[in-house]
Amino acid sequence: MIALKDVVKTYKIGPVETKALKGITLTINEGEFIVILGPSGSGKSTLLNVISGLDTPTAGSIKFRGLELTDYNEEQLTQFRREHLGFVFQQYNLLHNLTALDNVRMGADISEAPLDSKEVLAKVGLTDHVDKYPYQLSGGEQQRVSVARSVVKKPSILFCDEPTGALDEQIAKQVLGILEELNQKLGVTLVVITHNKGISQMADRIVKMNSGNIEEIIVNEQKIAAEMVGWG
Amino acid sequence: MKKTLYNNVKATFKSKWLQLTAIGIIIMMSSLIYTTMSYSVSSLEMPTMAYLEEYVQEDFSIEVLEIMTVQELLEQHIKESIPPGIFTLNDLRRYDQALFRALITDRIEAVENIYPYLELELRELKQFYYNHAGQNHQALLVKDAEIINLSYIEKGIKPEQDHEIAISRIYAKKNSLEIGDTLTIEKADYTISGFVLFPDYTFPMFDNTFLIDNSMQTLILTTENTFQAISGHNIYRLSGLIAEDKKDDFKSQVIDTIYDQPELDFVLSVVLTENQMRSGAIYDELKGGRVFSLGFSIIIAGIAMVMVSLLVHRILKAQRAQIGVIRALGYKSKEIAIPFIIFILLLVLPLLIVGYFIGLLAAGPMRDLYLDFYLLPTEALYQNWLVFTTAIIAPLLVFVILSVLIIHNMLSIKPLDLLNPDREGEVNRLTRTANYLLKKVRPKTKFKYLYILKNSTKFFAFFTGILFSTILIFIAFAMNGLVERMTTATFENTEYQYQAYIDITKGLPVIQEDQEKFLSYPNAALGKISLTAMGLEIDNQLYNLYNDKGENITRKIKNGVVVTKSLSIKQNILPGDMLDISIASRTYPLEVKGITEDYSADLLYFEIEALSNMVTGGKDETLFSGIYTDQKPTGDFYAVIIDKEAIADQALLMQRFMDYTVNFFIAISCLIAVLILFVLTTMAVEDNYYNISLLKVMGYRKKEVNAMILDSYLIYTILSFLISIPLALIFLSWTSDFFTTNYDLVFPFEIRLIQILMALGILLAVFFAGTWNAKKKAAGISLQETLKAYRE
Repeated sequence: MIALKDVVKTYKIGPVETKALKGITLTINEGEFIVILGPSGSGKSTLLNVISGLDTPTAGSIKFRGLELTDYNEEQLTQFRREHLGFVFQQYNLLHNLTALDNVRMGADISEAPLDSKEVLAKVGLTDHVDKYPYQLSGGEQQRVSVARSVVKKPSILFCDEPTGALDEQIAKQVLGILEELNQKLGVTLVVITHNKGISQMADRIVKMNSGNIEEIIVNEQKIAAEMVGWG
Repeated sequence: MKKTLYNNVKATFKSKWLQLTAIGIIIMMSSLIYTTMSYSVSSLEMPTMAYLEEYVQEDFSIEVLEIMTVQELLEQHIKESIPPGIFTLNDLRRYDQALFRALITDRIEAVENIYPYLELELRELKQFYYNHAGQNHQALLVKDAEIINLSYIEKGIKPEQDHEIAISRIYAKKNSLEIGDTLTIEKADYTISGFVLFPDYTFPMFDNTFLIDNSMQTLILTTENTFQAISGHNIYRLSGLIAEDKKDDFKSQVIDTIYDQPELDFVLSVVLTENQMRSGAIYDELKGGRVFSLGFSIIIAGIAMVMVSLLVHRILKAQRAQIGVIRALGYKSKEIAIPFIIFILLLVLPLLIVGYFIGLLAAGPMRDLYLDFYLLPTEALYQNWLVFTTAIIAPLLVFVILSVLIIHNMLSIKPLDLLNPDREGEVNRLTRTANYLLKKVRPKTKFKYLYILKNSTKFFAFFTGILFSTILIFIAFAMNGLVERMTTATFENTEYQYQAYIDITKGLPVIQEDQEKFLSYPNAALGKISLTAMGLEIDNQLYNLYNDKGENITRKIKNGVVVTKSLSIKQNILPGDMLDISIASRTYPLEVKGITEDYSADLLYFEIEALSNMVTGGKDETLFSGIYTDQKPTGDFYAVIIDKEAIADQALLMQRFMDYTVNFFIAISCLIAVLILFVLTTMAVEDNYYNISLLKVMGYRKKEVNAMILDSYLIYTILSFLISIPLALIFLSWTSDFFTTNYDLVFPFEIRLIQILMALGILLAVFFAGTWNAKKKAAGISLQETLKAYRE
């Protein structure tokens, strides 16, 4: 589905040049659940940014279903994100003047064949909260709205950057359960960035990063369910 | 560390320099407008009040019949002394000065006998046109008074020789004339001996038309001989003073009773000075000038204050974490607050002072602009503490107090709470209501309209500012063509070039083929209202009447009367109404057949034969008082010849001035609106910094994001535009009513559809100019911003 070859990303601040990605080569398959693991500064967020078209690589190739993303201009990248990608962040990033339902509908609005917003909210267990504003929801509920917003447009890939980083264990497992269901029942490819090793047990493959390089790719033969994930 | 605090605030303010500059211009404008208007008005007010008292401005004036009453004509000494055909005061004066004087003395005594607490004096004036530097100029010759409305020589001396005249200073200035120069009137040369003012003409409105251009018209004082020698249209009225203890009762004791006195049937109207445009408009102008300057500055300063408050609040919000750290380190709130207060003072104080001094410089030209229209004495501009305090200290205090309150509010939060990211606050009631109303619309549309309501203060500043600017644009447009409608619009539809009044004492002229007769009867009455009746030939070619649809309605005078629009508005007359019109002591019920689109005078149009019959009591249907012609008439038969071009020339200059005013108002309005939109939409982008990033990440296109963030401003701009239309119309209607009620003057303000569209066009251009920076800023927001954990 996505193939990265020798991807380099360099940041230049004044005379100082920092290589955030030092020649990454990686393939992500359709319907796969990948966890990118690594300490702070290992380049995992940068990797997510370049894969998802949020940022452009300094060198290398990124192909999505055979199409070279590095040739895309800003408008084409926007269209690519619009048609194929979904995002879930540590910060829930909800629009505060809109209700939970309207936040989800914001995602549905840019899709040609979206899922039913209310049904998706029901799926994430927020049937009773559709008309509530973000400030009236708990952190976990807000994150579930954020997931629903990303899923409603039926993305091919869902990128999650520390999706449970701001949640306690119980709520985090609920959110992970939803992601798991999306992957298994709807076939959504999942790319999850985390520093929580427990979450990696749910993935098909674990990409370990360090200092801008892929240190190791582990194929997880014994996937476990969200509720079984060890925490802490 | 303290220096670091100052440097930190300095850097923050520096990063907002563009928004601060825009707000700064608004702050400066508030101080500038107030100072300009205050000093220009006060430099006129004090000398004017002293002059009007010292030179005995009339308390009221009485307009009198310009013809002799039946009673007067039957007086033995008049009956025996004058030949038939002489019935106007003008004719009598030309025929026998002594008889005229005696008649006027009788009229004055008749009034003073009934109202012994009144003191009256005849005011004699003569209106005429003359050619100066190739243009037609107008003059009002004023006979020197002895008791009331005394002539005030501003510079030079009163005319002592017959070849000397005194003129208006502003007319001299605009025509580059000096004392000692010569002015040629009717082929005779007159030396200017001085510059003169008259208390009953503080505003140069010589007749009912609104020709007030002091570059083309002047008041003139001459010797008695010269007054008699110059020919023109004579005007007679009685100027009056009221005993001090009776001033409050004047309306009930005089105005309400004078028309019922049979001995005073020559009285046409009694008007208090405060209701007289030519003498009393200055009082409202000075009062209005003060109210306008204060009101205008308060609105602008208010908008600036809201914007400064918003900016300070936003700066503090952005510095939340730093403030938390500094407080955690043990700094006192006062130590943290002082750098902010000092920088706010450094921003506001110099701008208020700059505004004040530019205002002081502008006060002179502004006063001169007043003096372009008002005939008043003036004195040098002196600064005073009250204006200084109001222009600088008062707004400065409000700015500082507001800022202190906002800073205090932030500093009252516990250091630990400051260190945590600010959770978005609750959704206010306005947002919830709007959300409910918009429940059927798409969420991105909803987002577009709702986020602006989140901060009601910002919304209020934006909406008020745009509303204010748009109303100003509409008022400016409504003034467009005003002078033309009040002066020459009627003439433009007529074909004549000259209007000539015959001199009855010289006999009747033979009417040429290209000449058409008219009969003017200045003393017709509708109830207690005195009007001029005009008789026209029904099939005339030179003076046709047109209604508001442009249809020729001249033939409608056949079996009724046509009235001017001005009269119809003042008296609420509609076509089909029956009017009881008194002419020469007889009353005729006449149907209103049409209304002619003429705002320049209150006239009743008749068929000339019918009017002649009414004036002569059915004895003569051939009477006429003058002719319309396209060739200048020759011979001695005509006392006054009015060239249509003379009026057109004056109106053109007036309209040009009005056009400048219109453009100035539009420019000021646009500037205010651009600045408001610039600051607030830039703030909107900053407020939605992370939302914009998120929307981009989600896949919303640039155009869609801009629309979501900025289109709401466009929609609310259009909404405020729509609201401003009725508000501007109400304001204009109120202004028009004010002048009609107080000064008997109709201001035909007009806002046409094309002007509404033009105003919308201007506003849209202003919107795109004002939001340009915001769009640029929105485009520059990176997609990774949405990933940040701590958000400033």
